[in-house]
Amino acid sequence: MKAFSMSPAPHIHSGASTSRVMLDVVIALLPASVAAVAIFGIKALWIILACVIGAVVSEALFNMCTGRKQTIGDMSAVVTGLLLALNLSTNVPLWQCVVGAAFAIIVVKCLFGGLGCNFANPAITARVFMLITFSAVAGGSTELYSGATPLELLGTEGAAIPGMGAMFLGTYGGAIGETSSVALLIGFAYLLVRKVISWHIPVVFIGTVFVLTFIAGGANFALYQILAGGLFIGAIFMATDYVTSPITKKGKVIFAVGCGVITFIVRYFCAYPEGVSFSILIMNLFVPIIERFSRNIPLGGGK
Amino acid sequence: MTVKELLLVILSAAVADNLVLSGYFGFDSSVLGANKKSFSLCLGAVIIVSTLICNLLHGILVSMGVEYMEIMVFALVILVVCAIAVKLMGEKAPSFAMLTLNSVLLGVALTGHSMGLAEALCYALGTAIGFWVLLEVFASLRLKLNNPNVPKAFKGMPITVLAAGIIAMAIYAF
Amino acid sequence: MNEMKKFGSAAAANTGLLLFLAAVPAMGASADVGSALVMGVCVFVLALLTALVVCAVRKVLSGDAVIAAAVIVAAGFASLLVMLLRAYLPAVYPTVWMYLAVCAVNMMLVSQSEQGLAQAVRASLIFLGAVVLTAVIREVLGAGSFAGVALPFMEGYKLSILTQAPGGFIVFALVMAVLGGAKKGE
Repeated sequence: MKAFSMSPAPHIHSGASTSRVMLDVVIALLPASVAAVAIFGIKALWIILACVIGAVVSEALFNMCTGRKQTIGDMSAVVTGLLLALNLSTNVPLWQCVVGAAFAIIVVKCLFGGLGCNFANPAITARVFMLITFSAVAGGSTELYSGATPLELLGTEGAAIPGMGAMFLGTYGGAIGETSSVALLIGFAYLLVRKVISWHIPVVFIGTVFVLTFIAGGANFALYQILAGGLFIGAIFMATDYVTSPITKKGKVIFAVGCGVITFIVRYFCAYPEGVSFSILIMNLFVPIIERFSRNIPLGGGK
Repeated sequence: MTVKELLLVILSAAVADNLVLSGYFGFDSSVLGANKKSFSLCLGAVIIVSTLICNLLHGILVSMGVEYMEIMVFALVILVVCAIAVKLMGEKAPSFAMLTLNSVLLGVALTGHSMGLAEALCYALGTAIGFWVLLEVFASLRLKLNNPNVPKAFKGMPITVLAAGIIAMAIYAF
Repeated sequence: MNEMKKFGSAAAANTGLLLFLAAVPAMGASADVGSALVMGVCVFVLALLTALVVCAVRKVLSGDAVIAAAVIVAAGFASLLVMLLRAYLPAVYPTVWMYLAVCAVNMMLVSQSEQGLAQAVRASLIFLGAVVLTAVIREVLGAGSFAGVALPFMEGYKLSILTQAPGGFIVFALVMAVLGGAKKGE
């Protein structure tokens, strides 16, 4: 094993096991990627390629220019690129995909010290970056299924929204990877079986949004809400990033609840129909504080 | 203003239009002062007190027709309030320089100068709360930001500014 | 007081720290090149005048009183500059005046004025360079224009985040890294 540098938790395993984990994540994302291409067509494939290649090349270039050991072998850049791609809609021009991927890798990850040293999830931060920077990113219509995303439609009166079956399968407008709940759930199951992630964050995150939406609008509406938007992909794949989420179980739960609450608030009270990205990014900021708290909660109860 | 509107003022001052993250004010001290425990509370109190006084004085200045003296008068008020705060806190006080020389105080005073008294109070309160939360976040991120893998050119200050940029992106939703 | 002196000399030696202390007005005025130039010049004038007065005052006062004096002096000059701005450069005034006012209590200004005239001048020139550089990047890439003149080749390639607050932080951080690193090479 390599010698560890003196850095704070979480510590990263040696290169071999990191790439194993990353490979598992890529495999878990395959159903969603296949669904993306199936539903949205060849454009989805270009977007995936643009993001992944952009990410890997960015990391390779950064390491070369700063004289560091090449890290693209650990496949974390591939994961980031793939996740970012699945968060975009087919409207996004390819050059923007590359800019976003470069931002995710170089600014959010490498400049902060590389894998394990970033405090914000690169894919999420890049998605927010692209949301703010370019206008075509937030959902938007696609070639096969025209019209705005369900979340946008829900905001307009009398608009025809996709049925529940479509919501599960993913045959409606939105970002290419977020729509197919079925595909994402398959990926979730794989990650659980491979013990890559624990169930806490995704279940509590989605559960919180469900409960809050249920209180706001009833069961059907709540079910619809959790299937729409980037909730599944965010809760399963990005909120669970080891580096940017708490280690302890209690911490994970707190983190997930926070994400859920903020997602609810942003979806209902703010201009953006998509709250998941912002909520994960905001909760990323509080992870060190959450970890401090959850360590202090003694087993037997309060002070 | 109604209570609901006032609450909204507090919320927006703390989060949505947070002076630090959307206006850059107070950034330098929010990072430098993050390590001292008493700093955020002290600064919070000073923000509220000095903004209130400045708000009152603004009305007087306008009626006297010398509105252009505003900056100087506010600066004077801030100096006095900070000096008193340092005296009052005795041992636990942050240094006078650190307390005075930050842009949040003057920034809040100038932004809130033409508000009604209740609104100004809420605005100052919101700013103080938002500032305090931000200080806590920065303090907790300190460890991660100081890790040895950060590129040399970015070590220390630049990476902290970059982190602030990401934090600013995070609350962009509001 | 010792802390201020310590800060002052540390900032004079370390460009990164210097720019950090001046971050607020720098980022605030760097959304476009016009504002940046105006701010840079104003800060230069402000630093010069404040340093002159502080040097004279330092012989009589000491400790925190010097800080207080510096702040009042700077506030006075800043008020003057703000008024001039409002009268002669009304286009730039709305965005810039608060940041100029805030320079009165700005750590960089006060600590460098204390260090002496030469240091004050040097610091404000570094500031000018940093602000303008940041503004050029932010305006060209973010708004597709330069000093208000639209650049045709940027059409459709604008990164609008750069003209907003988060972009300001990010670009300024990059500029700090570049300028700070460059100085170290000397």
